[in-house]
Amino acid sequence: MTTDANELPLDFEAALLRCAQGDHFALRAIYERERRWLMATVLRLVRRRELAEEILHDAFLQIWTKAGTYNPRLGSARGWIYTVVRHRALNALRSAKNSPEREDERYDELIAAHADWHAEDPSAEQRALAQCLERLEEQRRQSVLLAFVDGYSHEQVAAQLGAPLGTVKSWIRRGLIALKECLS
Amino acid sequence: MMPVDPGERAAMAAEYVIGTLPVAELADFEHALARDFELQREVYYWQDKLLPMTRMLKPEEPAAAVWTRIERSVTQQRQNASRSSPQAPWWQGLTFWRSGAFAASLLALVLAVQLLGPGRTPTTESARYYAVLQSPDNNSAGWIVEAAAGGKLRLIPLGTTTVAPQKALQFWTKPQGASGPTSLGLVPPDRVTEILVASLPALEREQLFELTLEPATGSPIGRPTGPILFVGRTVAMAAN
Repeated sequence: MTTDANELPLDFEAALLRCAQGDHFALRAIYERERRWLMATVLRLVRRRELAEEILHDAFLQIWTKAGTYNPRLGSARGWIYTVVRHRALNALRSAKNSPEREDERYDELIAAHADWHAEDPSAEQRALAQCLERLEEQRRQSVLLAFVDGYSHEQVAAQLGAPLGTVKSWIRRGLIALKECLS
Repeated sequence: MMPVDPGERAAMAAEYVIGTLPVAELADFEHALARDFELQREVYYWQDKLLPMTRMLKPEEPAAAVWTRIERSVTQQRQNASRSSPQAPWWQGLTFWRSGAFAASLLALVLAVQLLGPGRTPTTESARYYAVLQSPDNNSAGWIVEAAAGGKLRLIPLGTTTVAPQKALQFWTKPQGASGPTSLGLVPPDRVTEILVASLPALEREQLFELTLEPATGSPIGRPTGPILFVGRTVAMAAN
């Protein structure tokens, strides 16, 4: 259901605070604006549509009940929402036999395509992140992306890249530190 | 065990957000996160910085039934909640803050704050508000809220509030006429917390502020669930 109203910018912070006060419409507004991107994120993590939809449902219940813990002075509501949803999906990945079949992941085009990231107009933040990712050493970038986009654990990244576990841990950690330096 | 080194802790926050924090370390981290402002800041930093990556994927439409199920579950949950707590919410029946003892100590404390406040001269154009948060049990004052319109709100402890393990202090406000309180987040029991006034639902006289005892990660339902430890309402002070 895509109506024009759903394309208007939403004040996610205010909407999340209204969820904390029990406003159903605020939850719905968040769902309508973000559902396709959230679905893409979850689907990429768990690879099965049915499971992804179940996770989306559970995550929105969690958004509803935990909205009061969101702290608007620390960061954006959308960032908070994605953490809730991604963690829900990761939880499912880690806990059950939900580990999907993996093919070789290719990120080069994913990053290179940042010019037409599926936003109308890539924001300054999007460009900055893409540039900083490009600047990371190849293995560090691969590790961070496998973890973030595909929800790989340290062990899975190690298996995928054929590297020792300790090495992968340090690639991820150093990758994140370098990313932070580049972004600030 | 959580490391003490700030760099280590910041790195853990980053790994927590991307999802590589080992399951064995997760519980300790989340426990620490609920009470550590610096960790919270790191987590919010990373979730915002990585947010643009969620736009790298091609959008996918979930089945229409997903929202129907969410709505049903939310309604059900709300019915369950209202069945289990049939009493009127605390903010509708509260009278103790009107007591004379409260008013007297409020004035005394507001004056003390004004006299002692080192170099915090209020600007002439901004209205200032104070509230003394008192314990409902014995009317003892535990915290002071001071806020300037358009500026910052400061929540100042007058002592240290003892918080049981696995619990946290959650700060709430409710402007007059609002249907319920808004969470202002978890706060440390022994330090000043500063909040941008812009992030409050309102700032006006007779606005309620309170601290409740909640689970370590905060109230799970978006409104207070635990006992009220301290509560008070604002008074407006003339600038100067």
